[in-house]
Amino acid sequence: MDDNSFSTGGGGFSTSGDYSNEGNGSQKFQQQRQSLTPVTIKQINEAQQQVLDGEYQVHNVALSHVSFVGVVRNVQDLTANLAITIEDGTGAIDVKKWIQENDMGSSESDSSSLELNKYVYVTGSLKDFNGKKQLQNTTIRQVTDHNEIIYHNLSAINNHLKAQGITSKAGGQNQQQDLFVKESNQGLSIQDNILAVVRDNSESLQEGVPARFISQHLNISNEVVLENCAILVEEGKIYTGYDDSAYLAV
Amino acid sequence: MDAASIRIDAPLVAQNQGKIVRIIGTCESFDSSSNHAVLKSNGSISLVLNSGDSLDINKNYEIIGKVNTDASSVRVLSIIELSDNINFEAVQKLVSYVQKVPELYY
Repeated sequence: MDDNSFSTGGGGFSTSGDYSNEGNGSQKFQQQRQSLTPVTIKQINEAQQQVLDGEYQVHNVALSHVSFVGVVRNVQDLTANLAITIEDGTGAIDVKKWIQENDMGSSESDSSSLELNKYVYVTGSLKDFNGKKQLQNTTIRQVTDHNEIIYHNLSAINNHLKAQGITSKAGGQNQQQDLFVKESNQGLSIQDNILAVVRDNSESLQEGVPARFISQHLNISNEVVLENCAILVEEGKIYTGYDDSAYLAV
Repeated sequence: MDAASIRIDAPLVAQNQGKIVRIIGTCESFDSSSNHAVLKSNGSISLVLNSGDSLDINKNYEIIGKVNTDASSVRVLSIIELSDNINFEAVQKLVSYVQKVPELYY
């Protein structure tokens, strides 16, 4: 009885109960998202927790496991761990790297791989520790191919824009095309056209689409068709039918 | 190195007078006697180096520096050597996108 009166009596209570339920629900949802988010250090520094002990968020992007690329600016040996200051032009962050006693050899190589003024790729999970942001379970490796810096920054931008709901439409499409540099596919190549013809006719011509049929259809010479079909067969996109000059799509 | 730097290339030098910038480019020329170098990054940028700094011609570098108030050159603060295979088409795109998302950058 007491319970009953309690729940009906306090309207405020029941709504706050709903609220916390909602909170749980979203928390569960967030916990399922364990993907590595590419970020800039500025995003990490600006991230805030929506709920106590919850996930860090910045501009609609949830940061649990993050990756970033930056330059090592300072390494401080604190015996049990290394305090590494990393900077990427958007901000700086201190990352702790624990030195494990049982593999001193590899930890030595770790610290030697952390040369000052070199780019490193860092992953870790962003957690709250005594009210301060801390990156836990960090991995740090040196960047050898510096296209990774560009790639990482582009994926961070891409990820951020997607989180803002900017995906398609004019601007977005433009960006998609721009992000994939060089893949300008105005007009399909001969191979693509052949593949399309083979696909379209594979069902009706079950013994294989004859090369002559393709050449007539696309108005190109038989040799060109055979040549390109050989490439497509090698790529595993089509295979020969009963006859060596007749093809079926995979 | 707490100061943030904005990623730019040659056409954007003029807009960033007096600012700390970050430029990825290829060294075009280097003169050790005058501590002067030219970096190619979607155009040429004249660099004023510190004595002792040295750059190899045709190598890729990322430099952090301060643009002179007349935008004629960039005073180099830090040099990072990069691998030889940098895709400059992608660098150009990155530079243009970085300017559009101030939320993630300086």
